[in-house]
Amino acid sequence: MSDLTLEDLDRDGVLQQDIDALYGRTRADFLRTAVVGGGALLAALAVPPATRAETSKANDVRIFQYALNFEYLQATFYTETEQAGTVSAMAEPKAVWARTLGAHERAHVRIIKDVLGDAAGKKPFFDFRGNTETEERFTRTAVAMEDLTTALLTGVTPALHSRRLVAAAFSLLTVEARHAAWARHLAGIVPVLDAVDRPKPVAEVDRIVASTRFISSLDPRTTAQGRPRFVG
Amino acid sequence: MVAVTIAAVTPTSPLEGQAGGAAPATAASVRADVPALPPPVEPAFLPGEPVELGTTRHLSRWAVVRSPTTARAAPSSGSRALALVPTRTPEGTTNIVLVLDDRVEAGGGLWIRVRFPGTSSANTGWVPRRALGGYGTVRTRLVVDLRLLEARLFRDGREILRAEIGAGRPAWPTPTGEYYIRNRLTAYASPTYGPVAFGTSARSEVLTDWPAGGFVGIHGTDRPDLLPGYVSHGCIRMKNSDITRLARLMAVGTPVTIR
Amino acid sequence: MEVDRRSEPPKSPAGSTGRVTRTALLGGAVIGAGGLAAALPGLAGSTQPASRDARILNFVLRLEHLKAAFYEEAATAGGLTGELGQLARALARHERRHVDLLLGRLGGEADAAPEFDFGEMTRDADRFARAVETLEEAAVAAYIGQGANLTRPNMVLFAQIASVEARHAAWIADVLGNDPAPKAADEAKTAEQVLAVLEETGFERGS
Repeated sequence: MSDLTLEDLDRDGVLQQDIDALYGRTRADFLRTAVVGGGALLAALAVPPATRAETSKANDVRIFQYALNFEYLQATFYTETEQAGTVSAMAEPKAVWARTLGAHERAHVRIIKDVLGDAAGKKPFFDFRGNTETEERFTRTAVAMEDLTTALLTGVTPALHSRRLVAAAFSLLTVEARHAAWARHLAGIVPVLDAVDRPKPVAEVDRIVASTRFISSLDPRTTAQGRPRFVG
Repeated sequence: MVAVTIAAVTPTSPLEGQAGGAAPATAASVRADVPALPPPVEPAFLPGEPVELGTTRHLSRWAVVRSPTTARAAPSSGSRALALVPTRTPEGTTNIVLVLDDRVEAGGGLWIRVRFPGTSSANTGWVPRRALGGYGTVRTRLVVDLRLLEARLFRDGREILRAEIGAGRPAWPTPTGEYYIRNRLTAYASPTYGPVAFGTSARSEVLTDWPAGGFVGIHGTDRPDLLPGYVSHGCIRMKNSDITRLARLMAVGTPVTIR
Repeated sequence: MEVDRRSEPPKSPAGSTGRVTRTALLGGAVIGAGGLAAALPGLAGSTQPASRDARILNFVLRLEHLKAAFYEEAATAGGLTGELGQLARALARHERRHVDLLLGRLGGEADAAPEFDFGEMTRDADRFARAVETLEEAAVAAYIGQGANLTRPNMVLFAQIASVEARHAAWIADVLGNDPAPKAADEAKTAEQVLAVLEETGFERGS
């Protein structure tokens, strides 16, 4: 996890002013030091909406392969948090939220895997680095993750060649945006950042995901070919 | 074949009920000045129902050891050291530990209580989360009964395999206690170990100076005629047909109870 | 990092032989034997995309006009306190910006703003909150329903606005104690269905 805080990202304090106005100083202080993951959407205030002159079916596959990895990332994150017992220790509204998001992301994984068929990539091995064991770190990471997903889908939805895929992506985009707003509201931070959600180019999303190091470089190798050295 | 959910777009307005079914009389006037718009494009797919996680009662979690670490008696770096936990097993595979609990220490650091390889009297302790990598999960559990000389594998609490075994001779007894499977070895040319061998986290109480630390394995055999019986240096032997079945059903990370 | 870096959508789709087969598979999976073209709306038909875009933009403009006016009145009417007041001010700002963005795209083709009468709705916290939920849900369904019918530049705009409307919908739902994300995917509404919702509010004067 790169420990970016809002303060790092919001150097001119624009967001902070908004948040101060909405929630007063106490919450604002929480947010100032809240780790916002890779910065997610917050940092992307200046990315111009790209218009796609060229789309292709091949590119559609790549977009959905990428989206599948992203859904794997999210689904595994919520699943692991639930398995760690972190969710059952939460107060009721928050536990409902955490379980709902997990159930949605797992449904997204299922359908995108189905759609990709043989083109679906293998599920990566994830290491959430201590962000699933405590409610506080889970919440912060969830906010960052949902914002980032929204930014990703905002960008790739109009980049899809097939209009039927565009229609499907719109239906996912708004759900991820709901997740993000819900997460923010529960975390006590402003649910809506601006009048428009800024898309993030895939390369930037990729850079942010890489900076979290959630996709583990250490894929465990627990099977080997070689002579046992047990006591026999 | 690929199953694709083509969900027809049949939107239903939550307000339709309130509108009393039919459109209000004034609707025509409101909508008359809007030229006809195209219907929504039918989406290529829509996800199905949310996927609930279900019970985690029979779930066990394991973690990769990412950096060499010291297991301690309490979740604190000043606490008594119990054992060094390396990143590799003697067989060269990624070392793993079972995840039992977690706690945030006063200083804010996250600690995980783990089961690590060793003798049953000293195989749980606390390690910093940052020393661990990602988590894996299993729904299986292996129970080895030394008195009945049989092994039983459970998935989600239900028995799915039972096999007779060979265990350690009186001089080199198979250690009892709670352990886990930490690796799987295949494609070796050693008939005495059969076709597949699992490495457990259980360390012999008496053969600790064994070259690779004296860990107990679960493996096949070229002497099935000796089973069941107390015939080994502490390892658990099975008929090759049984170990082959076990290898299909049991994942690395599975907790093992030896009693 | 094992994420497929070739997923960069726009300009430089890196061709790779390994992907060709997969592409064919995806094509088969999603489109089926019928082929994609048949499923596409008649973009190449007699309707000019530009004028169709204008009609769609005017359709959501009407919704945004209504919401902007509604929230602006609510934000200044003085009947809302606490979070609802904050929500009204934030949404007023957002929807006014949406109106401006749509007007910018439409230029001289923009329809005139309707006149509205919100009655006591902007002063009554309970009724206001329920109306917000109705309007925001309608907006989400409207943007989803028409997004894929647009030419690309306007589709980009719709994606950026649709997600904000969805954030609004989730926010008000959570305030009301309703489920902010009831489904794993949101569903579209036809323009007629959205207009029926508008109609039912009775906010548009002279209708």
